[in-house]
Amino acid sequence: MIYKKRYASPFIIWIIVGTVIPLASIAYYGFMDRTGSFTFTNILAMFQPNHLQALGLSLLFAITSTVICLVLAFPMAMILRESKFGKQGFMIFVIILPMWMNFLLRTMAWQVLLERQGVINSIITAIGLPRQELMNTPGAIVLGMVYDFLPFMILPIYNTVSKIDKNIIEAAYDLGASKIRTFKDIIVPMTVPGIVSGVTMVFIPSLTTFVISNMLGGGKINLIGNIIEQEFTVNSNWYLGSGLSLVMMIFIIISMLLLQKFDKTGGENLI
Amino acid sequence: MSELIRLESIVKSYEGNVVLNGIDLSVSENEFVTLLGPSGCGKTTTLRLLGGFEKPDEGRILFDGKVITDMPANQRPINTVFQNYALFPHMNVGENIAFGLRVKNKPEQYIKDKIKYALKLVNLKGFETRKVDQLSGGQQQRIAMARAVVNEPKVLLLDEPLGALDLKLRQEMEYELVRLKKELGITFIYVTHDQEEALTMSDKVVVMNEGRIQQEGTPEEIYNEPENAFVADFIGDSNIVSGRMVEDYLVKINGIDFPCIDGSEQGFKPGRKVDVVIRPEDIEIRPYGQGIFNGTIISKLFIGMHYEMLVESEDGKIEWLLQNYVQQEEGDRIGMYVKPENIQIMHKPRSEDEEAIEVDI
Repeated sequence: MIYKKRYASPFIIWIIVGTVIPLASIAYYGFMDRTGSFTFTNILAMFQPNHLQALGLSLLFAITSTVICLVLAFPMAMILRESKFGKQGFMIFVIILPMWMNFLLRTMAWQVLLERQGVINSIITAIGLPRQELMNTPGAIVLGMVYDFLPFMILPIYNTVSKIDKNIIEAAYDLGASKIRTFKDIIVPMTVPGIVSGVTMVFIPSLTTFVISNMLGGGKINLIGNIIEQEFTVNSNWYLGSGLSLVMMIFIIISMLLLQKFDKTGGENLI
Repeated sequence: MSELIRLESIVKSYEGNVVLNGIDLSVSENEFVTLLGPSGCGKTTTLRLLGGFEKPDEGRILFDGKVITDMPANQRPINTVFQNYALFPHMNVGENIAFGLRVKNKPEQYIKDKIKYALKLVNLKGFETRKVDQLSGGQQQRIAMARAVVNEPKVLLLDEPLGALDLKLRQEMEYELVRLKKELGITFIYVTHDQEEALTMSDKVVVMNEGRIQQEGTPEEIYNEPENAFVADFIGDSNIVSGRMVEDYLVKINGIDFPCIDGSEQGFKPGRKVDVVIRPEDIEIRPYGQGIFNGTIISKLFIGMHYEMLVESEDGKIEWLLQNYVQQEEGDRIGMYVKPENIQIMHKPRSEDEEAIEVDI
């Protein structure tokens, strides 16, 4: 062994402080009612109609934004792969650049653009079209999600796509495959690991976000993230908030396990 | 043998670097042609042009009498075995071999039979369901061959296919390739920088350097009658020395006259400066004073089958490389003899200015 076990101790402490303790306390509150006795009420609260509706809406928005990110990211990654080396670095820099800006600020910027008196509406009215209601719509929320999380889709996909040996693609052409066939049978299956991590990294934050829906949905559209947040802040009901969080966590774990399946089978299921 | 492929004055450059500078080449049906040269000589580029992965800046490529210069790779009746094999990592061996046939929508039963046939051909029976990353280098090599030949190409292009294998496996594969070529009865175009591979397997060797063909011929011609110092130096060990033609069939090297078999007829007029190649195994050892020239042995190495010796000429100006089965000690003074037919006279490489002057006259 090159790395002795004792060097792992800082990380073990980190894991205990950062993961085990918070998880344990969430579980503790999640299974407890206001009187301090054990209960399943907080867990089962997920099945109340308003919570189920929020969860369904969250799922719909998360899936939509993940699919849009995937559709946008793949061609982008392919273009990056084909472009010259110096250009590649610059383009990746440009993609990552917005991520250096504060997350809240980026989302707020969309408010300014989408508002009734905002930049986009001024352009629309300037060319003689009627003013549009852009803010506080599902579209605005999905747009915010896509904008904020797109780099997390592009980077892992680009990373795997760029590792595909040029000879492998040429070999497919050489054996008579068309460009489309090569893309479908060679490039996409070989990119599955990147797709899986990209989807993971976009789907989870989209599913649990409350900031984007707060800022671009104007509080009118309640996602499951918003409900959990309100339980902790407005209603000071840590018990219910923790219970719902636990259910969300299990939900996410199940989705991840399903995704992992694609990865292991090497993408055969995709085709 | 009828002509199958013809390259006509091909020029190719990348970002101002001329990689191929006027390549003319003809390949016959069922021929094993090797493109041989150091890295950067343009041999791989030539192969990529044939495969359809690159387009020439000038010139054209003919296949079976038809121009295919602009035909894309996926429509050419040519398949390639890539240097790093380029097997599809997400498919098993059978799926790899089937890929070309599936693309062409062949019936599944036909594909099954073909996979069986191809695996038998490359001595890997029963490997259908193996994963690619479970194969050794040599096995991957064979699968790459199988994947190419199931498509029944008229020409198989091989880009240094043995480059990544160890010496013993490489020698085995050399026999294997020759056997495959015979069984398939198709044209092989093979790229390598290894002169031994080129000489053992080919019907025709094309020696390339700096984007030009230096010489093409049978392995024997290339080895025994190199046309210039580059070819002589690249193929096998050799002594390359300057000389001057004294008269027909007599060349003076370092003040000593050597009888040879070239003269005005071959374009070597008396008085002309020439390069002379003498293979180290062609210098025979004689007792001192009884050969054409004398020298002192300054070093001796045992190379398995024979001894390799460096012999310094008596005036100290030239060191000759000798290979002989007879052991001589360092410091021994010996006489040396070379048969006239073993002295290969070559034209001196000329500078472009000189060439221009000659054309003017």
